[in-house]
Amino acid sequence: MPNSLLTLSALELLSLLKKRELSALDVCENYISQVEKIRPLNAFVTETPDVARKNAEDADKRYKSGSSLPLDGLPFAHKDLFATEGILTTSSSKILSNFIPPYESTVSQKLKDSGVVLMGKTNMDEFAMGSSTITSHYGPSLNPWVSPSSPTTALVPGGSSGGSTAAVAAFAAIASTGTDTGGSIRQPASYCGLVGIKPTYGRSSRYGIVAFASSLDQAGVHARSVKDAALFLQYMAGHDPKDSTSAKVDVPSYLEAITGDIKGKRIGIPKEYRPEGLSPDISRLWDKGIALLQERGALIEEISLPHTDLALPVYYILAPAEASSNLARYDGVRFGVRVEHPGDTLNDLYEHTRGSGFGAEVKRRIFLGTYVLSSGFYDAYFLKAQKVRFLIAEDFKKVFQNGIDFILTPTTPSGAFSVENPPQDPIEMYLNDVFTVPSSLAGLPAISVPAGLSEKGLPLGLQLIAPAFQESGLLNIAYALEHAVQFKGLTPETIFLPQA
Amino acid sequence: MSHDSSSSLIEGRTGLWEIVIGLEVHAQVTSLSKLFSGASTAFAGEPNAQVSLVDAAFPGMLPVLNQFCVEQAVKTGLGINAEINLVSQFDRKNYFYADLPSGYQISQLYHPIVGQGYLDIDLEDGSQKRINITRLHLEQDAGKSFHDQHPKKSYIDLNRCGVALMEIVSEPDLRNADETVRYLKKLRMILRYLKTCDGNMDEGSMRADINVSMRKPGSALGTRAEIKNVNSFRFIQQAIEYEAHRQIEILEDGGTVVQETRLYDPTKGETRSMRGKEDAHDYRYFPDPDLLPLVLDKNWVETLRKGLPELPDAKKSRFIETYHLTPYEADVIISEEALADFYETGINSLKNKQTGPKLLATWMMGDFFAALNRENKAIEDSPVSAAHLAELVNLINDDTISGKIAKDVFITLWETQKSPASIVEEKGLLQITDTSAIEAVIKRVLQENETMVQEYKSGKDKLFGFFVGQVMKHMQGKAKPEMVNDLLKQALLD
Amino acid sequence: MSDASAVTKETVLKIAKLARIEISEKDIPPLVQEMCGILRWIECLNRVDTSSTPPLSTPLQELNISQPLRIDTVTDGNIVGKILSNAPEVALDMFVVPKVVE
Ligand SMILES: [Mg+2]
Ligand SMILES: [Zn+2]
Repeated sequence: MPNSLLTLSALELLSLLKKRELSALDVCENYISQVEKIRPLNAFVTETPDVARKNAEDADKRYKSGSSLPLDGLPFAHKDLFATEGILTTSSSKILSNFIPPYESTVSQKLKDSGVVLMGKTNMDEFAMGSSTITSHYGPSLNPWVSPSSPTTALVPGGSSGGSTAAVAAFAAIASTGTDTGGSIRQPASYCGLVGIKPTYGRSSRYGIVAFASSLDQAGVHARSVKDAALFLQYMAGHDPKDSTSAKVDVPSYLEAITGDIKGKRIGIPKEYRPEGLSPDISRLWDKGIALLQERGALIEEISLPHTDLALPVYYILAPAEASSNLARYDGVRFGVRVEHPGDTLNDLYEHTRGSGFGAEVKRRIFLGTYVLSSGFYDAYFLKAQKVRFLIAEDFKKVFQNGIDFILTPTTPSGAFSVENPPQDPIEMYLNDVFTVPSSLAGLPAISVPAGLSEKGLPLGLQLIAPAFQESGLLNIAYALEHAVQFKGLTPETIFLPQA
Repeated sequence: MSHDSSSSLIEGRTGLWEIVIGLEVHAQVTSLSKLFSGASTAFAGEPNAQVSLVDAAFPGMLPVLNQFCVEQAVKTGLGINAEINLVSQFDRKNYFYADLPSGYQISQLYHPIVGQGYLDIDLEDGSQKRINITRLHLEQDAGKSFHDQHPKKSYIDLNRCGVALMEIVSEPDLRNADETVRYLKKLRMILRYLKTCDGNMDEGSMRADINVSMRKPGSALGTRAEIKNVNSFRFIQQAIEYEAHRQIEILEDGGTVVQETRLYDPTKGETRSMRGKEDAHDYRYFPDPDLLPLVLDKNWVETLRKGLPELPDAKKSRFIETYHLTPYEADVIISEEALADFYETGINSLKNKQTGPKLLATWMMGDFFAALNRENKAIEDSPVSAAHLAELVNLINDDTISGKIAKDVFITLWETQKSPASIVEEKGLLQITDTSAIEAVIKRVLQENETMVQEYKSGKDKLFGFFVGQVMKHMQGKAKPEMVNDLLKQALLD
Repeated sequence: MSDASAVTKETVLKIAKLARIEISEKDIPPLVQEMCGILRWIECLNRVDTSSTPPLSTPLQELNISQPLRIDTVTDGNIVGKILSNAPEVALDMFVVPKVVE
């Protein structure tokens, strides 16, 4: 019964492993087969079956000796921007296509120390810049979901953590890391019918994560259920002295916080998230979500976050500006791909290396970021954007100060789109993040929970946002919503696999 | 054109010119580890051995600020009479360079840790001049490129990369090379007193970017050229003089000075343009999102203020007042804290606190410094302790030995490190102050030289010195000279 | 805010130099167009008066979390092998680049 093994939740797997009704190696082999089976989805940049087997054997030894670790034997995948010691880490960029880090990111180290079994490194938008996973140097990942009305049209899994969500939705890992800068965990989770949580900025360490925009990047997790997400987040979160922006805030027990009781919780529904022309699909699911929470005793209130429509422009100034600086280190001197022609000066070497090593979207953002920081434009663009960012953060602060406990919004303005015909205009593409970016700018924890299917039969998520460091409460209400929605995910049999 | 380095105006073909100089001093913070990483700051390690993944800007590496470097910057700020900014921020200065791995230097542009301050310099004529300091900020040093190993390649060593620097920026208050060097020496002395920078210019621990511009006296500031990274007082002097003349020549020929970065070439004694370095410069500073605002506790700053050592200016005044030193003597003795400490340790052992301190200073600056110099020794390695030098002064003060004998005692003291008293005793150098003994010798000398006594008495006063010499000779120099004088005068009157 | 349509081919070339990214002639027109578009889109920020608004450079600022500090001890270094392990060109334990003329 290999398939039913794949559909077990992490908590179920753990209990069977503990009782030694299953061996970690068995689980591992099943998952390795699945990783191989879903290769057409291009979810992984690097598969690590040897590492996985070794991890699983170690887990089995610990189970045998009664000294097991909290996540021992759980098949896991990392987005390919978590540095993994001795394992290729590319950020899906040509410029890092030969990079083998001699170090481990804090988050992946913590998960490793908790016993996870590494299935591989997942595909993503190059340097996490995108909402589709199309910008990867390794080609797009595909969504395991497909519209029943158009069963051969391959869809994007979303992005930038699209490989991570495709892998989990297709049962090639039980959960996976992602990073979220403007929605890169929540949007692909929504597109793939998964739970995706971006914790508070500062909740988990950024050490060893290839940086996109440092003031926004935050590691989180995708899983097939809220409780599984809570389980893994538990062992990712926490202060790290190697990251000055990781906060010294205690990590409570997330699973213990999940009771499903949300009676009396005040849920804010921001009117600015229901612009004219919002897809009826999205509106309908949102209303359903509101009704379900209300049924369970939550108090629904309309709120206002007046600067919402400015969030995307702010984001597309600040994130590229930080990125233009963060990506200056890819210069072909100390690591990564070097492109050098005979007779090149150092500047020629830089220009050739970076000109050929970065893809179009990354270049576009470096150009934009360089421009908004350049002499004469700093005040007009960068400083202005930082000030509006303050106003956006204040919007949230006021709402929470007024007693609102959580905010409920759609995760994305639409469902997954076709890989072949993605939006051509960058701005249209950027609009994908319209609902996720504001909370990113404010650094708040947010989670996407599958809420149902669109007219086309594709998953859509609802987003819940909480005050800073209130992940416990956030997971609890997400669980309540998940429970109420009774979303039916894919099974190993219903995964879309394109014909070769 | 003519001028000397301490005059403020230069005579050109078209009249007088004034040099306007401002300095950006980079002082390496004395610390064990780097500003944002745990790698060592030790000088001259094996290539890339003192490099962490953070220094080499590997993907995902993050800076964590060194607490001690912050403390050092604050101490230095207090030492230059500056305001300490309780909230400061680190910014990224973006530019591509071979020895700058991250493509940006972490520095402080918008909110430096230290604001306005000043220091006073002593000019040659004894007057003082206040040089205002604009700011002090913390930043990272870059790595080092080597160009001589290969005809077509440069080699990069990142050992220095990330070492903490304090950039201390002065107002354009300096008017000639002499003032500039005095300012730098004063600044260096304060840094060394504070132990925040070792001031070692040979190892590049302290280097100056010199902004030089020319103007007709009283008119607005001219366009400046920046001479980068000059690292000796002599070169600084030469670079300024060369640059002043270069600019005057351009201006007097009707040209304009280009605002640019120049390099001083000590072998040629000239400055030259660092070509191309300017054209694409746009540093795109912005707050480093990997670091948070640095907030200092006011009480902590006050604790540091209270814990500051006595600084050169205060020490100098105190030495003049308490020990009656001349300003010159005080300057010499306070020039290094170790010298001042040696001096004051000696003072503790002095018996005569009235005349002793002055005599101790004379001795330190005389035979003692001469001996140190001769053997190229630092004060810390002196074979003669402060207590022994003071003991020698005590022996002179209480008439045990004469100043002349003391010089001999000092030589033995330097060689043997025995106590001066024991040397005097062993060698039988005790000064004779016994009136009858001296009188007996005088009597003999006068008897032996009767003719000369007659000549003296008939008015040949100059012979007095001869009699003194004869008496001293008979007494192997041990008689107290003043007593010999008095007793001899008396005897010759008889 | 400056005029977004001021982005020209020259602007793009200047930025390409600053960012050390080689750009081919054919890529310039679409980049000019895209940047103009994005910058025009961004201009809506002018709508809000921010004359008395402080900038927010990190969300942690809002939480009054200030810069953590490290004790000054040597805890790192002596990993030349790791430092050089990914380098495209190395000699004498140093990174090698085309000769830099100062
Ligand atoms: Mg400077
Ligand atoms: Zn500097």
